[in-house]
Amino acid sequence: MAVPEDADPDFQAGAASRETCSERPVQGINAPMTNPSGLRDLSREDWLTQLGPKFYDHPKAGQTDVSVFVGRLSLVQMLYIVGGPGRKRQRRDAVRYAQVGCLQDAGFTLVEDNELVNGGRHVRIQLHGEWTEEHSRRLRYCFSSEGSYEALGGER
Amino acid sequence: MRGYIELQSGATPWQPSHDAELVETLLYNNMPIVGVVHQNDEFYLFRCVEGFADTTHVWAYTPITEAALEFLRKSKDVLWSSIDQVTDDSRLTIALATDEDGILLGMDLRKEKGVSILDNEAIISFLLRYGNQEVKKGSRAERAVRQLEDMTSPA
Repeated sequence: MAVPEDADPDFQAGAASRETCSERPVQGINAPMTNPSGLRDLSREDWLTQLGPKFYDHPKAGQTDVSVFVGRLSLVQMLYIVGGPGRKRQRRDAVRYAQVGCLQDAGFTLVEDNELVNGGRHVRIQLHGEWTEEHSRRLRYCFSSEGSYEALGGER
Repeated sequence: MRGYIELQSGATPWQPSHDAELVETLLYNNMPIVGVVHQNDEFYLFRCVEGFADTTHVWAYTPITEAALEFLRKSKDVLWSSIDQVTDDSRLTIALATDEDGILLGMDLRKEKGVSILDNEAIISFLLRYGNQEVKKGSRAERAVRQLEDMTSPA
């Protein structure tokens, strides 16, 4: 698998982190589980990365979910997965991060694609029912914890 | 074999005409950003070249065989190099679209241009040049061209 040079060791699996968005205790996650695809199941502490500059907080028209990728991925990693090897960084490019537990507590359902595409593991943030402004607010909240944003040259 | 996809103004990039069918999504980020559509008995690989996390996007389309489609389905983890293997740079159609308006602008690149569907810089350069020459001032297409210029300004 070809990944950028600054790829971290947890690139595929999704790195757990000391920082947490939710203070609710994690239960029943003592050891990594694997699903039938061979990929490790997500835990509440796992980070998810969303690519900007347009950070969608609701599905696009005609779509049913908001996209994130497993792991606390760098901007370079995200641009490789989604934009290809020829995609150079641009002024407005950015990524932001949220944790699985925070999104689950906010009422979202996380559906994994359970396959690697360009080394990235896509997760769909979905809702049962209508996506309201309140849901968008909750989603933004989960992506707003300290240290949850990386931009190259632009401002938040 | 016609070789170039037909694009309709206002169509969704991953369903670029009324008779086109999305048959495979290979990469998704809030919308299908790499996939295959079927139109007029041909398969066309499409790719969002720029704007995959924005409201204005650049798209590229090239014909592939059914065998290539099967190969791409099985090699998603190395999708970029797999695309490089199954495309021949000979017939490329590029387009500019927005979330709001769908496809606004499209052009076929002739064979002698030899531009790969993976060549972001060349595709954007052709589209900006074409857009600056062809679009009407004050039109939605012109606004999208200006937006693309802003998006692709260097870091």
